[in-house]
Amino acid sequence: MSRAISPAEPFDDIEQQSGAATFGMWVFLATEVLFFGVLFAAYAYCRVQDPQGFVLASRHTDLLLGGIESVILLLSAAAAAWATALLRRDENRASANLLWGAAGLGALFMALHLYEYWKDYGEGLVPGLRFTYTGLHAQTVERFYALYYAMTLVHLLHLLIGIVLLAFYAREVRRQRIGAAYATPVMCVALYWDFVDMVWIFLFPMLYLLDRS
Amino acid sequence: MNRETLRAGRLPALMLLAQLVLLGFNLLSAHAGLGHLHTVFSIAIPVLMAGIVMIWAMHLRQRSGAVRLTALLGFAFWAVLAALTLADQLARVPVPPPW
Repeated sequence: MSRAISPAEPFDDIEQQSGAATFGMWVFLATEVLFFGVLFAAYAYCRVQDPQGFVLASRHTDLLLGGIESVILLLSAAAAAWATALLRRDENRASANLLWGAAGLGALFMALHLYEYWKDYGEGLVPGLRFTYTGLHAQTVERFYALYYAMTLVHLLHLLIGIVLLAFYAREVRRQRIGAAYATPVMCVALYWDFVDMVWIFLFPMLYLLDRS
Repeated sequence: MNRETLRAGRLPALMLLAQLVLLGFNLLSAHAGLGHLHTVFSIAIPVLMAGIVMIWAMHLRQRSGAVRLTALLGFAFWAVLAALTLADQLARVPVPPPW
């Protein structure tokens, strides 16, 4: 059973505090849309300049790994959503387990993506470090991979932050320091995790699924 | 795991299922040789998936007007940014060489 908690200064009650925290999180996420938006706009600009080159470059990405990563991230987001629903019902133990699961799936996503980077390095597809591609549209392929690394690395950084936060709150929930009485911090982390998931939902088709026929 | 715990997982499971189906469609459309139609699919399907996340996972429908406005403005400002970025490129008219 969750214990009653007092609101922090300057809030009158917990509901007001929760509303302010949630609103603050949404404002932060709106700025994040603009942060990623710059990269998405740069991608669109470069793709419009040489669509064929982008299709060619995209065929060098590992579709199977990308697909597996997508499924893993969707599973992770679902686990986080289930965890918050359980926390609201004061089921701390199950909620903590699911938060750990979400963090673990996030870490698995990260490991697979780092493996992809390693594979790309072996194939000479890392601009600035080892780029050996000399076929058709070589300049565009290099530009595509520069964008690929910029976008996926920024996404991985967000993912890492999310994993740390999920793991931290999984521990707090397990120790009963957070419960149904004030679940807002976990809700905010789940919002952030959903956003990270959403960014990948757009990145996957942009980077891996350009015309494969 | 009791019945209540499972019941709490029904919505996330439905969301996951819907997203996996959409992801499958996206994968199929990339291999189907749809030409320009594939571009439409590759934008529409992620938008649908993101809509599912925002409405059911992030509970946007139950949020206050201020929160919904904030979310809308985030995307609106991004649309302005993208439009201004692409305006130059898309408005260019190829000029044939004079010879």
